[in-house]
Amino acid sequence: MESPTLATSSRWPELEVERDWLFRQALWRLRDHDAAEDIAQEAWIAAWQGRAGWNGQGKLRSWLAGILRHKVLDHLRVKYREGVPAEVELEPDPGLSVFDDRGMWKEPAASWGDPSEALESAAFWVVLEICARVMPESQYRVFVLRELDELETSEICATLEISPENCHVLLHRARMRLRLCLDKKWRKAAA
Amino acid sequence: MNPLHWISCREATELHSRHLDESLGTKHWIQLKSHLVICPRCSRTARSMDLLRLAMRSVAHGDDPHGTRLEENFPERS
Repeated sequence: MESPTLATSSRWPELEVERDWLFRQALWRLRDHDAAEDIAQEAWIAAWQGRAGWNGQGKLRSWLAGILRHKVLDHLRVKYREGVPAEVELEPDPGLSVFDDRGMWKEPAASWGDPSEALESAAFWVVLEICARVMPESQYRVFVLRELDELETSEICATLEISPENCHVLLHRARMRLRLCLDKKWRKAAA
Repeated sequence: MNPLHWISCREATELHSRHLDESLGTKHWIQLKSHLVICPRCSRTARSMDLLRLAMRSVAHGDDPHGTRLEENFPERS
């Protein structure tokens, strides 16, 4: 297979400009700068080598995201040879700290205001990234496949070899953990 | 007891999360919606979870306006 060089990649400038995007996507998925650089580069090369498979229809980024997802999952399979850690039992349910024995809120949930304003807020994105960085691996893995890669839960179950119920529990805990982290570090800090 | 019995806030947040991933059955959907109508705390939580989805999807599509700051929060290993 032909390896991309500066000369060859200039023949597909649309791919060249997606290098940074691929790196950022890899970084979101792996939370490891060095691994993200490697995986993004592998994905970029795979895209170049598989350019005949790109039919030019749809979004280039969607096609690249599919390549990247496979590279990330391959990387994680090597990293977790015995499977992604099943932290459902090990990680405390974040809901335990916010609900009382009757399942009612112990204290009011902060309002996040207008969604469009939040998405325009630099502080929101910085805190979101910080909160994502400290999430337990099993929760983060499922959350990323659902929210970044937009896989259905059945696909996530098959990919990670976990049960549907386990998947729902992990997704819920991931969302609650992120929500509580943003409450604490973003909304209440801003109040 | 009413078959559509009142659910707790904890159950409501769990149902809302599940609602983001799959269709709820009629009973659970009515339980969730009726709870959210009268519970501002759960309604706020549901909206924040919706916002998290919106944010992550915008990351996936490269629309996050602060994407270039990402490296600051995931620093290189020394």
